[in-house]
Amino acid sequence: MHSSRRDFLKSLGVAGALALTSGPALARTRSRTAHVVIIGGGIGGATAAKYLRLAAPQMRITLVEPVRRFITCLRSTDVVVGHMDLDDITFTYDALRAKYGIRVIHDRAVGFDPQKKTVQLLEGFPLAYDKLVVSPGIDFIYGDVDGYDQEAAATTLPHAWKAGPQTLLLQKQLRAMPQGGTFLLVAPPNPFRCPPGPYERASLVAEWMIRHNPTGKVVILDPKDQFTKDVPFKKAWERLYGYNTPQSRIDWISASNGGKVLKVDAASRTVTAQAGTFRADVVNYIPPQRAGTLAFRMGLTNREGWCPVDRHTFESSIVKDVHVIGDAAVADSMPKSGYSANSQAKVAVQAIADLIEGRTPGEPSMINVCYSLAGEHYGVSIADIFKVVDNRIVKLPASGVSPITESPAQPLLEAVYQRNWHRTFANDCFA
Amino acid sequence: MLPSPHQHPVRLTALLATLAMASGAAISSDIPIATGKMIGDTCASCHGTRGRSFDEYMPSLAGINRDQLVQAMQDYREDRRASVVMNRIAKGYNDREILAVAEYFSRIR
Repeated sequence: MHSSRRDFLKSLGVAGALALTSGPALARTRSRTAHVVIIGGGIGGATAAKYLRLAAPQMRITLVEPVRRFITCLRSTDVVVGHMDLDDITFTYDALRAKYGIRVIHDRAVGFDPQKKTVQLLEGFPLAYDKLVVSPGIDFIYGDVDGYDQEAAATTLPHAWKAGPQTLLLQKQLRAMPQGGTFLLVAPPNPFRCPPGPYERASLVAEWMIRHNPTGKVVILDPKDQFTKDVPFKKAWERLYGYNTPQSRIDWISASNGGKVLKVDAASRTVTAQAGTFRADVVNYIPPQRAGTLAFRMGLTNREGWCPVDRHTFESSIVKDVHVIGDAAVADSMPKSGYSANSQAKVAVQAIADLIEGRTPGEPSMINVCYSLAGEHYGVSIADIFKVVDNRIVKLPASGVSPITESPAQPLLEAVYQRNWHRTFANDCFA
Repeated sequence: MLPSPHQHPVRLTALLATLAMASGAAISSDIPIATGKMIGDTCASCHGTRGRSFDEYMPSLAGINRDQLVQAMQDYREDRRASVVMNRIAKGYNDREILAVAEYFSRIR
């Protein structure tokens, strides 16, 4: 071999030498020069950044997220009732930077040019992308009920449905409740983030009251007649809180029983529903939801306020080369959960790595496993596997919710698993 | 950076054929399934990234014996082995998928 050619190959290194001759390695050079930008560093965005690195060691990956410390909604009700501190559910982007070589920019995406494929930031230089991943989460719909708005949520009637200041506000209000007071939880209509969340919160507040406010009571006003895991939840309420007896600590008022809220008076904490007027000491009003505002600004939403996607790749059905994952995405039978967002992120970034390297994305496989606490030592769960059939995400029929058994070990172990799961899951996303 | 476990399609196909004959199950091999890695990534949310878990209750899957994992998943699926959630999860996977994911985890070192 001519010496200059040999030196040239040597200087390229092994991968470079292979690139001169073989297809897959040629593709690898494509992935090396490609730039994937991820907007949103929640569960979906963080998982996407990490798993894209695992799939494509050479790719340039940038994550844009305004906050430096991310607080998971997962387990935030444990903070409300004092089982955990906010620090226990707060995660940084240090590992994504140091261990996975992700460029993390703490800035806000404010503009987007899908033709030029650039994202404008509030403070930094614009970013050019080959593929864009957007994980915008949810925002709230205010104004459908008289008397409840963003101002009321931030000051007197917290939703605490995004973990942070409102989590602590709700905690403070719960602790300040007079003895024998009422904690009123207004559950949102479908679809919404964390379908079992309102019922877990009602459960843990009822349990808190056994110790700290024994004559207190939880009332749930619900615009629905069913909710996820309702069978094991109600069984737990019977076992733990006297549900379906006159002494029950939890009162669930379904849509059929007048649970739909008509108006709110924030100052007097009075909520009028079809069933009547409720004067409460704490009102945890969880509003209806839509895709995060960023998704609207980027033109990624449909008429219902969510982001339609190709179910195999999570590429937006509206804007090419933009993939939408997590709560904001239309994902059919998949619930809007952190677990779903994590699972969708893995499918989306594998598809992105495949597309950049000229391969056809493979068959997706997704999962949602969700443990909720009906009491500190009493867990209920749902486990479902999802496949894509005719561009719809289909839940396989065989799985489902916790069986009701007489074995005390089942709910106890579910509660133990739940605590272990939160640690492992957070590591799968952030570490 | 991080080791990338490789699938071995030829060997896998042979194994699938053997398994199909041995179990006598009607396994259609022309329906596409997810790769072992794709399925393994769904396990990672509880069992740790690449099946490496470091807590009290979730067993690691990285480097597990392939046949043991196949057996365990089939036992969970058929309710021959008791569990908290794995019985329900295993019902979502056919024999080909279980073998693919067991291959994937068994190759991680």
